[in-house]
Amino acid sequence: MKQSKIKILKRGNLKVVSTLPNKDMFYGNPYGGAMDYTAAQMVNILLNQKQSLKVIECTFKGSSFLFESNMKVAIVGADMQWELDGKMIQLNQVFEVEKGQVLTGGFSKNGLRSYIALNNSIIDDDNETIVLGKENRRTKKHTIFDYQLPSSTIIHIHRGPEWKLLNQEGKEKVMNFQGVISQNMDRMGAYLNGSVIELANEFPKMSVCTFPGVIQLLPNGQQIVLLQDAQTTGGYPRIAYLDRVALNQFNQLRPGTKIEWRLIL
Amino acid sequence: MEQIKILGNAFDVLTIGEDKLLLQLNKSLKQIEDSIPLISQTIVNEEFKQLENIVSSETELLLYCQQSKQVQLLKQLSQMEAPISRSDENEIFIDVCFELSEDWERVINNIGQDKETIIDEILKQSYRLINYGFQPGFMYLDGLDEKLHVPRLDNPRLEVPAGSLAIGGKYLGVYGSNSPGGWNIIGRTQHIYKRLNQKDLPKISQEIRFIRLTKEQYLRKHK
Repeated sequence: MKQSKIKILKRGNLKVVSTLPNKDMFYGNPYGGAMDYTAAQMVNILLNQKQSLKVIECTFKGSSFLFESNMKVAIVGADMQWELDGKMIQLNQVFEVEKGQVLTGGFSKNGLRSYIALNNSIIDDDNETIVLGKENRRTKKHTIFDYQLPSSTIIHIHRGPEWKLLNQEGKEKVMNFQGVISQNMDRMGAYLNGSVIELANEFPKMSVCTFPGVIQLLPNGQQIVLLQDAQTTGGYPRIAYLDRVALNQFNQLRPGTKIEWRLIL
Repeated sequence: MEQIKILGNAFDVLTIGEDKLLLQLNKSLKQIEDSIPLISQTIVNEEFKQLENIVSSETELLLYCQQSKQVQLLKQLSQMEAPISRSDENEIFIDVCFELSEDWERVINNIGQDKETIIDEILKQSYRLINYGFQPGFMYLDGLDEKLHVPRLDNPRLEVPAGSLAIGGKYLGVYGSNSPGGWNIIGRTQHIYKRLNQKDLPKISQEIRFIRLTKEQYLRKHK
């Protein structure tokens, strides 16, 4: 079976990701995978292909791609004003492209991350050839489909293992926290700017297990949310965490967004 | 809060989200010393199908397991038996070259002995692999003599080559991938994490010894 190639013409901030996490965290590998699981899985569903196939994750700024043969494409997630040969294309639906056409995305207007899936195709990235889609024999036509970017900036959090190291004032500060996602954000973590929170009890100097969505309290009283590519252990207290749904939501919010925590009791 | 006993150690069980369990050593009960590395490796060897991932730290195990399968997993963990031959496992030997590294001046100043004396001290001991973590394939090795402890760098390096042998506080470490890092680099080993299949990697709890190669020997053997 011949697989056709999609070529990166102009690289924005992109990464080819699996929709599933890594299996080898025991050896120190990060959890990994798509930052917005829902969008990444749904874009494969749209093309009627296995949900676990790799997809292209574009963050904040789209890229330019050249199709080296005809294929089917779908994009789900942030609105990056995607254009095919200069003509605007719709999100959340399958479109057919022809050999030689160029797909281009700009800065995201809404949301942070776009996911692109292609059927029967490969991409060369980081000196590696990655399979994005396999030949699709099923011919089911339209999947009824509605992906929506999060509209709320209120994020639900749960108490973390070190919640008990906060005193009443600290707990209330976290529960009523309003802050801003700083520019200092990548696939490993996002620093927040907000009021300073202090621990009432000292956190012992040792490393503990971390995971995507965990909120660490830094020595300067600010918080950081660890994301999919974070290291697997860390030395800061884990005061709270976002569950999977909340993390999906958080991962579509752009740096500079004002957020609020809402504690689930 | 639930409790569970694994290989004679009591853990408090915390549920994290819908797909994780955090097991924390309960300090109020008597523990077998240094038991976490052995427990985590034993769990990995069992290959429980409900378990998607496991991460361990000094006092914790983080188990990735879907909610519907957690009860069954905990039951199996509590019934797990200790591996019979632990001390029988052979030592693993890793080649190291002490001539390809950057932080000797800092290490010598900190320890207050000359380079050759420090190298002799390092080669004298064997080191227990207590964890992988921090970065892909990074090995934490326990057993560094107290006089050889050196604090981490104040400003971490942006890029440390894979295979680097380094001192970080009371541990020796081997970098598994090219990555930023704040440990004191004293040597270069062959890049075993990339070279070996996961099944052939040193197991947690195994003892590791270093064999010194000159720069010429090292480059000839590991080019």
